Amino acid sequence: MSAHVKFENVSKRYTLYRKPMDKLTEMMTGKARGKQFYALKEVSFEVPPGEVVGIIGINGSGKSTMSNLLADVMPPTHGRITLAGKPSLIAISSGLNGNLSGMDNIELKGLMLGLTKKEIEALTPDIIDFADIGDFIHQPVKTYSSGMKARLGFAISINIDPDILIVDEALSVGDQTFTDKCIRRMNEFKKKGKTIFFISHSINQVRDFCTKVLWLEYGEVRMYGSSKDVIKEYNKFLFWFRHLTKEQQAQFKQSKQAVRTTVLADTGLGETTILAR
Amino acid sequence: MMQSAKQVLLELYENLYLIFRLSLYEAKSNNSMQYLGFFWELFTPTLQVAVYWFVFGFGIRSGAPIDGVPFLPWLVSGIVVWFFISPAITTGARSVYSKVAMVSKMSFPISTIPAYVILSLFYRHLGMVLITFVLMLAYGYTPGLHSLWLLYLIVSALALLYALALLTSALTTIVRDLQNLLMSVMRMMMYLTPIFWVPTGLFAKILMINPLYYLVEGYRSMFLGTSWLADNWQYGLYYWGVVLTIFFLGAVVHVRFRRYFIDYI
Repeated sequence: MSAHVKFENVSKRYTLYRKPMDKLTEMMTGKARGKQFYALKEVSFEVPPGEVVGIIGINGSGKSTMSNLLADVMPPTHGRITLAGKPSLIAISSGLNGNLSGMDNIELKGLMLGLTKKEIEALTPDIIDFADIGDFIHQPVKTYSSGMKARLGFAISINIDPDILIVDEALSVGDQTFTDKCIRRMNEFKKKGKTIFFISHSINQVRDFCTKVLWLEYGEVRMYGSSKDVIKEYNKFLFWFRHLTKEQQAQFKQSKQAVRTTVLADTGLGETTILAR
Repeated sequence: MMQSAKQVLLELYENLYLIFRLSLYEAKSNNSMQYLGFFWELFTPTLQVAVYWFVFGFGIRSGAPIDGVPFLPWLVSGIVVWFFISPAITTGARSVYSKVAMVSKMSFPISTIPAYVILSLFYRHLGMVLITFVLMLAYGYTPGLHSLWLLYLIVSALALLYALALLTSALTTIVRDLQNLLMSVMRMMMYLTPIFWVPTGLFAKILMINPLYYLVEGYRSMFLGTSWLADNWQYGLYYWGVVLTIFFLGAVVHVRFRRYFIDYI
């Protein structure tokens, strides 16, 4: 089987507008005004099925943009993304309606993800069991603690059985027992030959759990390979970076920033294609 | 142009069940804060009608009937559709802006958002129509064959509201200021439709450019059992022409700009 997830020269560009009017002029004329900024620049990689890919990088390296692109929340500016199946993003409390109860949210989210009523009914006991928040399941979500929201969100997203799972820092709010439960479930997922993207600042979690690691540095791929190799290099980098003086750090950031604001030649609008399974 | 319109219609058709379920949850979520929930949705308009009846009926018209119809049934039969149109137009316009952040994390078409937001307001309209029928009965206007016009009027209202929402929701997402403009226009519009008074002559002709005129007068004619709807079939054709024009325009703008919606939040 060919690649499960494929990025070809993917860039995501934002315009830093000085005033709201610039935004409108850009829409009408198609000509960008204001400073251009690349959250991701010419990123290419391929992921075979059954891999767990850790995405690491220091703050501002484009991890959140990457998770939004993977989940098809937004289209890329340039380049082509191919996903072999439906993605599901697990971010903290994403897509939960605070006014509705946990039960209502399960059905609502299931519907939005394209499940039928029967499928949702079949999944509901598993979700309630996995979330393990007791009687609160019948209370409005706005009364939940952040841990409970994360548990419910995670329970829904993982039980609807997506083809590609993106976990964006969602494990950082749970306690150790919940994290273990999630990791166990994600391991089952892995065995089924599905792809997981794991975005985390915890190098230990990434090392334990991921088979491959994508290291982003200021919007570009610094390194992509087996988790052991990449993490070794990443730790070396972190060590090196921490021992720079303040001026050297600033200089390093500035040199990278220059690359990020250089405008690429227009290669047409990017798109995300989701292949039916 | 045809392409965009076809695409939007297809998306609506394929997601009919979803739109229906989401609209129920939307209505539920709007009412979950209060103890009496749905009751308020009927109570607030009733109070408004009471005030208008007092001010316009007794104050300005000193209790005189209009074309032989007592003021209260005349007012209610016209205003009942306004209580649906007015909030539907304003919330429809901000529907995409307020929901896209939640919805975009899922895989379903953005064109369904205005549809389910409008539908979530439709249920209380049905409740109000029912109450109006009771009031009409009390004044001796019995329902009959002419009441079947209601089905046509509901379809007409929903079509116009969706077409408008498709266009305005795309525009207000790009230019937020339009929401404010729309709110003030809607506030004036209440006095520029025949809800409180009867325009005559040239003035009526000018006001009839506004398609909402057709809905208000159409509902009134249905409740009172007059033949206004059938007599003014040319105006009906004009109404549907406006609806289709707005829909085509809305579909084009929506399809053209929807990939940018998420970037504009």
